[in-house]
Amino acid sequence: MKLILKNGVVYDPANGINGEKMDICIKDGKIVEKVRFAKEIDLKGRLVMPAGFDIHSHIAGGKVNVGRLFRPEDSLRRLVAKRGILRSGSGCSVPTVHLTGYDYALMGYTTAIEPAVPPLMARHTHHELNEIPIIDKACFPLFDGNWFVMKFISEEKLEELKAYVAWLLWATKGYAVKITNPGGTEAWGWRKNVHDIDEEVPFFGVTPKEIITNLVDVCNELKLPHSVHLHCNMLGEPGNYEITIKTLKLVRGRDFEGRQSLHVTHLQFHCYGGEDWKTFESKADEVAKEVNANDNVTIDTGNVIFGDTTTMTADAPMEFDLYKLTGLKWANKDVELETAPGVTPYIYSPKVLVNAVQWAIGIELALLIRPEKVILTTDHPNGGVFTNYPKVIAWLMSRRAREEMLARVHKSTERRTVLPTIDRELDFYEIAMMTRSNPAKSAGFPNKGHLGVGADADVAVYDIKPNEVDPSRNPELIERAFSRAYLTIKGGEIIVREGEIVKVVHGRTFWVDAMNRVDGSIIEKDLNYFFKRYYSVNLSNYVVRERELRRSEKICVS
Amino acid sequence: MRELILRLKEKPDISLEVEGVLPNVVAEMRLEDIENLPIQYGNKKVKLSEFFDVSFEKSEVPRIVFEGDMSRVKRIGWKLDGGEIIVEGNAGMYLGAFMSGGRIVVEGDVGDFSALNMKGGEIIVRGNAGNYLCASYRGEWRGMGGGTVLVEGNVGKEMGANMRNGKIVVKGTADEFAGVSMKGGLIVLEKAKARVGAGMTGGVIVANEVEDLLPGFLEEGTVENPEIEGEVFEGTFKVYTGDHAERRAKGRIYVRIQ
Repeated sequence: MKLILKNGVVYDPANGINGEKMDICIKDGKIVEKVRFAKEIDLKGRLVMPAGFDIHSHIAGGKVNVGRLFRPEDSLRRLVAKRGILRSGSGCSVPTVHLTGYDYALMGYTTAIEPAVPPLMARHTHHELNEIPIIDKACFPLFDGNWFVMKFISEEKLEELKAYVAWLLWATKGYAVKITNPGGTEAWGWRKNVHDIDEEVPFFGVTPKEIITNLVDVCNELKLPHSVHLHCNMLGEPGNYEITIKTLKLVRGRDFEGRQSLHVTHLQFHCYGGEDWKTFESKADEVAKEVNANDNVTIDTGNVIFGDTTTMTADAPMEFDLYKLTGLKWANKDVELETAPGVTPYIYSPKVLVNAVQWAIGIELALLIRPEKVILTTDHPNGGVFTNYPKVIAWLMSRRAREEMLARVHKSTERRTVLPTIDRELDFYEIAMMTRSNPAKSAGFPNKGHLGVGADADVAVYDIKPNEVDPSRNPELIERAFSRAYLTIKGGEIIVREGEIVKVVHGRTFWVDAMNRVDGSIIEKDLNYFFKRYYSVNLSNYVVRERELRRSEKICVS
Repeated sequence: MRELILRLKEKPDISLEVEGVLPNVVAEMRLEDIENLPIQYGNKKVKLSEFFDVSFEKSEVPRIVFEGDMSRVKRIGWKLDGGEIIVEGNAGMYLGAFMSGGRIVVEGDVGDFSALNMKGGEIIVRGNAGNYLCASYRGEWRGMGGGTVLVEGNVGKEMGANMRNGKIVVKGTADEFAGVSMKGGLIVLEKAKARVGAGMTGGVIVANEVEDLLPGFLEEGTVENPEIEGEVFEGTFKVYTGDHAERRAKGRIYVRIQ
């Protein structure tokens, strides 16, 4: 299909285009220089951006399904009937697979990454990803509590570790290395947690610091497209900002050409000061200072949205602490030799000081950190549902919107945060960076997140005219425009037209094959032994075959 | 004001769902529009007039009267917020579920999940009620938030589960697990079967007779003519607190001494 998008006001930070009125030509699913005999669409000065890219969103896999199963009341809040080409579905914080795809497309997003897959659940995850329509996806397998990883690190067998990382990415059809509370989930098996990056994990005797630095080195040596994707220790604990800063400092000096060496995810949950919940306060400024000074780091925010949600992480001890705090229902899972996820509902209330401070921290981070390092997420569904991104964008673009919200939250919030003192308002260019070019660049998708020639023809057009609207005075217009895309184009095809889905396609699943960079035979003995001795499945049943992926897109590391 | 009379033509083979047929909704509608209201019949949407004869009468308040055996008609008064519904016969599942105001009177029995997550209003049932009367929706920990329910017959299991507020009066026997996990509100029973108030952390249950109490309840003595939630109950009662299987449990059960 050939298309020309005429007279759009284009924001394409990766190519330095800042609000220029220009035409976008599309042919065979790619952006091209010129195209003839194409269908023309006159956008009349509407906002054009590359399609959105969500680097961290729990949309598929074991714990998402547990969330769906144990929150029927969440499903009741939103029931969607079958309509035309669209299938039925339900769920607010844990929507069903089809709704997930539709909701992303309606917001102008065409790529989302499931960031925490226990390797043993990789098959389940891929089968679920296969059913999510429209968007392109990828998944990050978990390496944090993995016995192989900890064994190789404690024995200082780094070649074996490298081979294992490459093998596991191949076996699970994963995209990058995710570490969640390194060491903590293994300690949880002993009813413990690790409280510092120098505290030893029981039995294995390795520290979180060793796990992080070794895996960072492995990722850099394998030249994987995305760096280590890290969820730091002590998530959500008052006073955890010191550990976060210590962790960030680990990658100073660990340079990698072309990308960051560490991506720290949902940083909002890791910027807490104070001794306990009573003295809880924001330390976003100190963490932001370290992130700004550190060239090898990118972060995503993990903004909090007020309301009812289902928290789910592969950080089981943290979920248990949260459950103890709220007393609501809780589910926990132990995934054999690999990790332990937990799920529990949570209600963020503006009247609760801690929640209000959390809300403020997410905004502070996006405003205080250099725009080329920040990615906007809500850690869906932990901080809030991804359909709330437009709300966050409105807060970032308009001081008025923030002040209106600040007036509605707990009164002491102003004293515990620096948000009221920040005047900065982002423009469309910076928003395009945070939601498009930064995540695509950080995750290592060269054809996504920009509109240069040769890029995938994933384009979002919003029903707002940047040359006529002042976002700082009209936050509600921003929120409305970003909630319903005027056009979403995926792979050159029009998916959403004027806020309605007109076509449903199936996206690709990206995964990384780095097996050609390692010698797989050196870990064969260990694999056979561990699978025979400890796993409940056979090695041959463990590996996800490429044909199980609906549309597989293999990225070979050269 | 007028009264809408819906007479069931014949008892359907499978359940009908009349969600959305509410007194305030039909108050201003023309007859044809009411006849064309969509209702769910199995997996199909059908018109109201396919199963009901529709007619009007004068009345003081907006009111709907269902005539016939409605035991296969679900969701009568679903999310009712005002007006009155009268069922001259039995009613099916989910009667008055999520209602926040208004009044429902049922001359016969009601099915399971009646008054589910009720927030306000009044329900009177002349016959028996099924399981999960006034309970919370599946998975929901925030149960009934207000309103009053009177049942003249017996009630099924797990009545008032997770209840937070409001009042339930049962003139007959409540089956097992009445008031399970309740956090507030008042339940008045004639007789309760085993495991009454299991896991309760607040609220009050007053019963004339209790089959058995769980070991989590501790006897606190006797009182005469206690005043509970502004209402005086005549007679001598034994007071129990519990369920101490839960942390900080402040529930109370009053059992009349015969």
